[in-house]
Amino acid sequence: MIAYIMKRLVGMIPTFIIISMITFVIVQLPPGDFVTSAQAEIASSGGGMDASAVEAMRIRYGLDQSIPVQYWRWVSGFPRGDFGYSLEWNAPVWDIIAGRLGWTLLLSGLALVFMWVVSIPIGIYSARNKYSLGDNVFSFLGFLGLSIPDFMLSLMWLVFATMMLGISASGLYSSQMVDAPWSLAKFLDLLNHLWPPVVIMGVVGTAELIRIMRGNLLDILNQQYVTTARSKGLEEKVVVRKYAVRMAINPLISVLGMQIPKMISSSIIVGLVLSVPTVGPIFLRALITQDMYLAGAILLLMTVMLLIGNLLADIALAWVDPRIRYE
Amino acid sequence: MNKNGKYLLKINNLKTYFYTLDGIVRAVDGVSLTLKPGKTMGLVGESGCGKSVTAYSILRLLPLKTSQIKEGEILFRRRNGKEVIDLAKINPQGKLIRSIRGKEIAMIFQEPMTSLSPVYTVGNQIIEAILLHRQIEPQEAREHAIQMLKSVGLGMEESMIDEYPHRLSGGQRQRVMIAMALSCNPSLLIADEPTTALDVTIQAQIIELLKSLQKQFHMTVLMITHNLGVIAEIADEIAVMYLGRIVESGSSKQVFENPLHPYTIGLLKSVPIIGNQTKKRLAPIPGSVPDPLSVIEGCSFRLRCPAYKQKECPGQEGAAMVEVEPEHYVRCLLYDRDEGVRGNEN
Amino acid sequence: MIDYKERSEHIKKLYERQNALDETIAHQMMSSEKLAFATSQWRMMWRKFIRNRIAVVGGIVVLLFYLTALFANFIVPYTLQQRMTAYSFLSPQRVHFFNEGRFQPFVYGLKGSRDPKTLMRLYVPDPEKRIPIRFFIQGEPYKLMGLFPASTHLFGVEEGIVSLLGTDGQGRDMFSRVIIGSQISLTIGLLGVALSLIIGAFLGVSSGYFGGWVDNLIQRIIEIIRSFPPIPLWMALTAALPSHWPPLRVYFAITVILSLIGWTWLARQLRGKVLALREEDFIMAARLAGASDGWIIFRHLIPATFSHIIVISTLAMPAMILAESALSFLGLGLRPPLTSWGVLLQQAQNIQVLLLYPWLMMPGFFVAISILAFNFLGDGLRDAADPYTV
Repeated sequence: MIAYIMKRLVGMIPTFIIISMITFVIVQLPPGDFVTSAQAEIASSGGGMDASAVEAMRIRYGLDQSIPVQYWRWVSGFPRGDFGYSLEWNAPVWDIIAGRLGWTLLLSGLALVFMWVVSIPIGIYSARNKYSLGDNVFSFLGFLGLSIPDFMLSLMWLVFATMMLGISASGLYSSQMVDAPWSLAKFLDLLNHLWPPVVIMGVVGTAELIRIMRGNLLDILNQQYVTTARSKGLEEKVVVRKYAVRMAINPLISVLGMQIPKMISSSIIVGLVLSVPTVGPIFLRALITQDMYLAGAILLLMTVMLLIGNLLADIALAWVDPRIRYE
Repeated sequence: MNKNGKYLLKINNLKTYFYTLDGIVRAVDGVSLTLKPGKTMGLVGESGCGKSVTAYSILRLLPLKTSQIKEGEILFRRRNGKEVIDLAKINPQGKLIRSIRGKEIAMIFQEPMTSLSPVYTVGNQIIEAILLHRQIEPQEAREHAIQMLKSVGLGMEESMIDEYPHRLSGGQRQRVMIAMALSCNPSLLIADEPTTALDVTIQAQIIELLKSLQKQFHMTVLMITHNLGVIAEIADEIAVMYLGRIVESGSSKQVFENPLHPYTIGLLKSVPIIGNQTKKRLAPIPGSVPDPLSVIEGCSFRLRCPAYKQKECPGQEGAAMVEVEPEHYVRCLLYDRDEGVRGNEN
Repeated sequence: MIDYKERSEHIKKLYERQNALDETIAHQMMSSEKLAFATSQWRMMWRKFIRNRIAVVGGIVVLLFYLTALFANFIVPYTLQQRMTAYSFLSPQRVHFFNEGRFQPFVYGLKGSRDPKTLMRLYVPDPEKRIPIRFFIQGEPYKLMGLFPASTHLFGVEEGIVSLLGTDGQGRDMFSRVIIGSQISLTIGLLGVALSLIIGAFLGVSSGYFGGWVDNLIQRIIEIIRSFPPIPLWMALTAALPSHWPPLRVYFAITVILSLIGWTWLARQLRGKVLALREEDFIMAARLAGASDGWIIFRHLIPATFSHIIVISTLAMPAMILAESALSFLGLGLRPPLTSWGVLLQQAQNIQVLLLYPWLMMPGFFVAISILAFNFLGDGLRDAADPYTV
């Protein structure tokens, strides 16, 4: 088992290197660089910079060097936890994004848990009561969840919560609580603001998971080993739980792994609409202003989160399915 | 029929129907069988004739929503000797049937590759069966499981018991299945095509194993197969099925030496016999088993029967079971119209 | 007592005679059976599809959407940029169908004012003033499908305004903009999927067919692309588009960008199918007959995967539409004057405005409905093409 994990970790290293290179190239794609965009901003507010000032700025930010050199200067800081310097915010990148990455992770993680907890029981119910009213209702709701985009759901919730329920729906805390010191009330307030984005993010994945769980379970319930279990004299609910559901969970773990990128993406959009401080808004701004280390680090770290998520999913799968362990 | 003989299992006019979107499938359409204690009954027929469904009906393992035992009795004599219950009438999910499954009637299946759950060890699955029906300590159950693995000839039982099924070969898995089925010493073992998915050499081993275990455990065996070679090896009595009905039944010797029903004759003729000169061509029965949804009025075999096709059959209607010689029955008009001793099966 | 032994022997002879008789008929029967099967495979799939009512509904909705998009300019009462500032931020109007017992659709005339407290525009319908809705009415000129100049609209009013989904801050009719916007939203999906398919089919089939280092290389590339969370990646790529590019070039660039990620899913799906088919006998037979790889791929594999290609193309559409909407919503996608549903939703980004005038969210529902319809359709196609499920 440990060998399996080690093998996978080592395999991730070349992937990581290539990804960091691609990331760097991508954030360099927009024409110009930070200096030109700073120039543009100054120009739009009526000022101007002469050529030598521009050059000086370039040198100061190390933008006069060639791309590979800039890349190396960036990457070499990683082992030290130095992800570069934000040109716009005038601070180390890590300080700016650490907290926000935390929120991204939290929202994504909670959304995954939500999906897991909701879709498995519903999937089991739907499979065992195929074509019943409940099954059809869940199927339809599932399709709805699949189809309404997350930004749309966020907007709808915002309007509904504010207009119909009169509660504060954006941000992490209500206006009274924002500056208040930590307390149980504040914590509850936070939870109240966290569950809508988590549910919205989870809904899309839930629909898919329910369909897959239902489909898998239907297949598995027809499998020979389920009949064998029954023929031994086991109670039906034990047969379903111990033999059918247990097997159905395996492919679900892979599917869950595939949801991770969607969750990370979704956290950006939902965070933007509902004003949860994920990395979304900062990322957007960094892209536009060509704040390349900031943009690059955010993209890179999100990708790393994805890779680690996939690794965890693979490990979970190997743990749960002995057939994979032995490969 | 020898009414005085105590039977272990008696099926009377069983009818099991499936209700599908496209129509009703009359998988078992009036089957009567008697299993005598300690004997092996071979149930023979092509795929789709309803033999597996008969077996599943005994243990009530058929899907509840789409199938139903429409008519008939399945009388089973329980181990205490006095009680006879009708399995067809009891609750398919109730305690009674669950106390019989695995404990008094056990079943092994065709596909050893998929009969065991891949996520639990072999030992886990066998011990589960043991602990379900016996009040003993887990350690004792484990010992017993190891003993069972030994008696099926698995080899290296101490380590095999903790192996996962996917590490075993097909033959090994089938042995595990047998060990699991026999772990509570059932009085009846139903074997549904246990060797069909195995290599020929392994087939022979498994059949030998079943024969010796039957003697050792004093079991009754219902062997379901389309393989006549297997039947010849192991069966004391034979029942031939076609499209949900028994068309011929008798002792193994009688049916092999003196097949009566055209279908039986056709089956026996289509088996290649090693050693025979190849002058005569292999003559399979022309045509194939008809669509299970179609309802054929009268004799269901006449569409493929050479006697009917060559206008030698006296009629189209279905026949009643007739006892042509002692304990040898056939359902065919060719034997019915003349004076024959009529049996008490319909 | 019949002599059953004799009867038994007799039946054996009957079998032999029957075989001789059957042999002559056997050939003819076999060839006619084969023909019956070949022609009915597509018919079988069609019949299976038709039975799935939800999928059929999805298909009809998709068809409707595209037809509407084709004739959009004609169907709507106003053009894309037509401003009626007297009626800005108008809520959706109710259409009444019976005017004093007769069937004649109409809307009420409106009197505008401003709420003194919230400064919100208010429109009071005037029941006295009933403005009839006319059909095939002359309105602002437009170019049908961008080519044919015309000015007849399917419906409209001679005075006042008929706004089924309300108006925005500049008095532009949302209904007209949503329907015309569907042209862009739906075609980006088509083009994007087509492009993804070309790349994905080529790479996926090669990957599955050739195996070895080709497969390894392509799989690695796919892995790396899929390691990036899609939305941030798209965000980064679209941010790279120079702001001075004309809208049409931006349109195509966005399509290419979306396809650059989209092809990976299609390639994976096709690779799986090809891996399974590669071992089939008919491929082996073709190879033994001396067919080249190219021949096998184009003449055997691709036709065999054809139904699968249709299914995955249909299922890939929702993702494309969704991606474009999300990106445009964020301001990173298409730019005005190009209007898609996502662009229309940009206005909804302003929370204050949205709370006052929630109908600005309507384009989002169209996105949802189109995705729903494509999903139903794709699901139904997949079930129909799969011979093993009931």
